[in-house]
Amino acid sequence: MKPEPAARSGSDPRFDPGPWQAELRAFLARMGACDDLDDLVQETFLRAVRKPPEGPARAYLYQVALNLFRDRGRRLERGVRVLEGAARIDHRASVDPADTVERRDLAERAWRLILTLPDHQRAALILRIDRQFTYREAARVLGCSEATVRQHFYLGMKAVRAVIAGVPHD
Amino acid sequence: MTEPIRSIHANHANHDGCAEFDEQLMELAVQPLAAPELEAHLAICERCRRAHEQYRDTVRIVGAALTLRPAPPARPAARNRGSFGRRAATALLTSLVAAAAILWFWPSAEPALRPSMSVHPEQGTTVQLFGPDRAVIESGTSTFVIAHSDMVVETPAGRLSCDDCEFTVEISECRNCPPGERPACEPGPVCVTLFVAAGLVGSDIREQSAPLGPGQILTWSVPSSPVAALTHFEQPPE
Repeated sequence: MKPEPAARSGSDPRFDPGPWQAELRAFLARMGACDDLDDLVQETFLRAVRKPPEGPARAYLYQVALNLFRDRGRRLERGVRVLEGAARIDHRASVDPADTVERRDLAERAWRLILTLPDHQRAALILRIDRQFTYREAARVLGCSEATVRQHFYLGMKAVRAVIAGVPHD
Repeated sequence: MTEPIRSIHANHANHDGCAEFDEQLMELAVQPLAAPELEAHLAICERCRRAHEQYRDTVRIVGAALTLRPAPPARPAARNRGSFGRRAATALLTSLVAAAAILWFWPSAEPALRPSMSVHPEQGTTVQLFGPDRAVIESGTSTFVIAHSDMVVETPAGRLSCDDCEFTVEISECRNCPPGERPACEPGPVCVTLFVAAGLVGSDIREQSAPLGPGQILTWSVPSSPVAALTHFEQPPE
């Protein structure tokens, strides 16, 4: 059971699940993962240990988590998940107690819409706005060019804005 | 998040900025941009100002929407409690089974023997056993299979323990001396490497409070370990 020399790169403290676990769970929950959340996070770390990344650990872990989420998320299943997600909004989690009902209603409408966006647009919105990733980091996660991430983000923003404003978008 | 959402409510319509600036306006809503040209344009273009306000509101609402969806607690217990009658019947059945088990084992009840720690040292490894609950590894490489948390493995870096786990400890020099030069090579500090094969391994080793899970490898450098140095590094190579 002596560790393989190649596997020694796993001793890199970047792979300690502790600091990442909550962050990845939050990301996956916002992507729409529900019951399989813990399995996805666990699988992410297993894959990361088996195949350590060359680049930054954070972007790599997000990439693995997102790919696993995509693999598991079948389109039909996603439809069910969207309804569940919308029903499970936690009203106690409001950031500001002074929020108006109107603001919360807007946020709920936005959340329901975000869940219906294509995975890459949803991920681009979450990574840029919620996770504060740069386009370069987001591109690494999504496995595409920075220009493509910009496009996903742009379309996602337009879609959310249109629905919030009550105007159908293209 | 406390600013009023002016544009969306006031206008109920989408306002794109001028084509050459629209994407930059969206970017500006997410993070500050050093774009003097855009700033100059914003100062004179009402259309772009409204678009920029809308994008800012959209970013705020998306941020608020995402915080409405916190991650659920880890491993939520899915329970289906069933009816009261069913629960009562289950409880009664469980009690009967427990009572039968106690009666069955009572006459011949003996203290259960705990399985001892299993140690698998590699050749040239020095592991000392102090009873079934304590092992001290001084040099070399050994795999340990441990059943209970009160069984400990002592290493030059600290103690390791777990409930039902398997791990390998390797003690070596941190600096790799070229083969054949060992007597002349100045030994560096001792390195203790832990590789977890199964279970969660806890330790009292500094800077490592969280248990390590399967597949994890960690190496600690120990500045001085007289026991390991004497028993391992001063041995002549075979």
